[in-house]
Amino acid sequence: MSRPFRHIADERLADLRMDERLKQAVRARAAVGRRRLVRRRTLRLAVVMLLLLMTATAFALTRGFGLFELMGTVMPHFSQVRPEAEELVRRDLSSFSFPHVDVAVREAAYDGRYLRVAYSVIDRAATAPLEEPGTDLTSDREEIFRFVAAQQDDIRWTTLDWAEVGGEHVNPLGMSFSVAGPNNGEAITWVQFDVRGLSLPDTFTVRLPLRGADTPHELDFTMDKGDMRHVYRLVPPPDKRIGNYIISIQEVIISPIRTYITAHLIVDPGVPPQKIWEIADRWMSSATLADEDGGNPQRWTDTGAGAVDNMDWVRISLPDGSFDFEDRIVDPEKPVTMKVIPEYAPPDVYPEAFRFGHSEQDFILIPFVKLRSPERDR
Amino acid sequence: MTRCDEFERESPDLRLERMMTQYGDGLLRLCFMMLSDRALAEDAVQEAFLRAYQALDHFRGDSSEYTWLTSIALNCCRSLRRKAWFRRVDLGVPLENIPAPGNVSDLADDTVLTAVMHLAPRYREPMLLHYYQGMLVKEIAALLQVPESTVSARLRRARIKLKEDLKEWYFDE
Repeated sequence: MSRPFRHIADERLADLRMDERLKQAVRARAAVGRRRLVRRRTLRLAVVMLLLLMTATAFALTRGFGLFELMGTVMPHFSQVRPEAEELVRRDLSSFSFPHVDVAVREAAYDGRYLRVAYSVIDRAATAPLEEPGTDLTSDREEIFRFVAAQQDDIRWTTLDWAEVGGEHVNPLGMSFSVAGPNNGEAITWVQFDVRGLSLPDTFTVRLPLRGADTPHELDFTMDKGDMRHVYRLVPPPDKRIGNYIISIQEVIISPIRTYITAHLIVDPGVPPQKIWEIADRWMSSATLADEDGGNPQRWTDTGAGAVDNMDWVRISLPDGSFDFEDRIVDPEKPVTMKVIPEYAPPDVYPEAFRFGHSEQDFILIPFVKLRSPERDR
Repeated sequence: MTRCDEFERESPDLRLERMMTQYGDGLLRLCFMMLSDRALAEDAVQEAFLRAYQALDHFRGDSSEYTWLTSIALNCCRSLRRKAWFRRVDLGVPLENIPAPGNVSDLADDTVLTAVMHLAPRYREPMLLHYYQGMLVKEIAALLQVPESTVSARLRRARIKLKEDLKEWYFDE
């Protein structure tokens, strides 16, 4: 016996409806958009122009489309890495010619936290670059960019949604983008995969989901970790009480590409969920990582926050029969633990201690004392 | 009369209302099956209708309004899925927390949906677009920007994967 999938899905998901609450949310946002249209257009233009200028400057200065220069496509300071980051980069890792396009994994770098990859797809018949070199091919375009030659060969030229690293399935995490390369018919795609927790040998295999219609398997390449001496953890400082919560630094990873921080915020019993999120939001969105005296702040590149203990996101029924969702503390007698995971562009010179915080009162000092390499620590 | 001519008679606000009423439930459920999370699905469908509203002037009627909205919703789901935090902490409301209706049929238990929602995105997307949204392989190929042969191959592989989980239920060709 079979029934159309749509009927079964609709029947099971009957509770999911575009109800008045959702419609009203869309209407409200649409109305705000109308009021701000002119102002936003003006502002957006100014910001875009600034970004274009800065990106163009970055490309002009480097004259390259390497892994780190490409990171500046999103925000110019994203390309900021320390010189020793170059020692992690592996180049010209793999290539394959399909009927219409050539695919080449140009660069990859592993730093214990991410595997970052840049690969190019080139239309061999092209007689000009796809667009002005450096132009983003996938975001904020009036019309979808169609890479016909790549589609003819069934090559995924935009971002990849999985990979196998050392035989383990991994997912992309954070930003990803595709830009027009400097060569005729060339698209270059940059993507980073979350490899945290993988225990990799010095040399490992990477399988990317790049394959043509008739090729037997995905594109594989082997790479070594490179010089990991510059990737290490710091000794976490003692926990610090700040008002009604404690900040506990769980991990600080120093990489020449980024500084990665994982911190827990252990909030006292009795603090309502809204206040808990306000605390977490400040550490997630506003915290800076600077020298001990607050100078030389490192620039933020990614972040995140969420509850990891004693607070759930639950559905509630409203008196009118509709529903909503809210944060709910599981045991009011116990503290709630939030987790924040900001990442920063590395400084030119590491300080004797980092000052991690978002105000004069809300900060913690992290002495620059090496623990062990993340690799040896696993 | 073309579809564009018909739509031009509607004010943007009226058109937004009509689209939300006509397509809202289906798109919300599609987003849920893409994201496996109720709150994220609600975010995605809101964002999709907002983007559609802001882009009404640019809609040329090259595709159906339904396909156009599906395309926007799919992109919103992808954006949310790619956001860093989505993969880092599970804050969502999964299928088992969505109340099942009292008169749900035997076949509408969670087995089918769970199996589909556990497919990798590259299989789940064409699967849902074809079997839930009712789109043709050609339309899916245009939407996903891949050849039709790729869509067909992914649908075939998805069916093979599902067959193991759904021995008493199958997708009609």
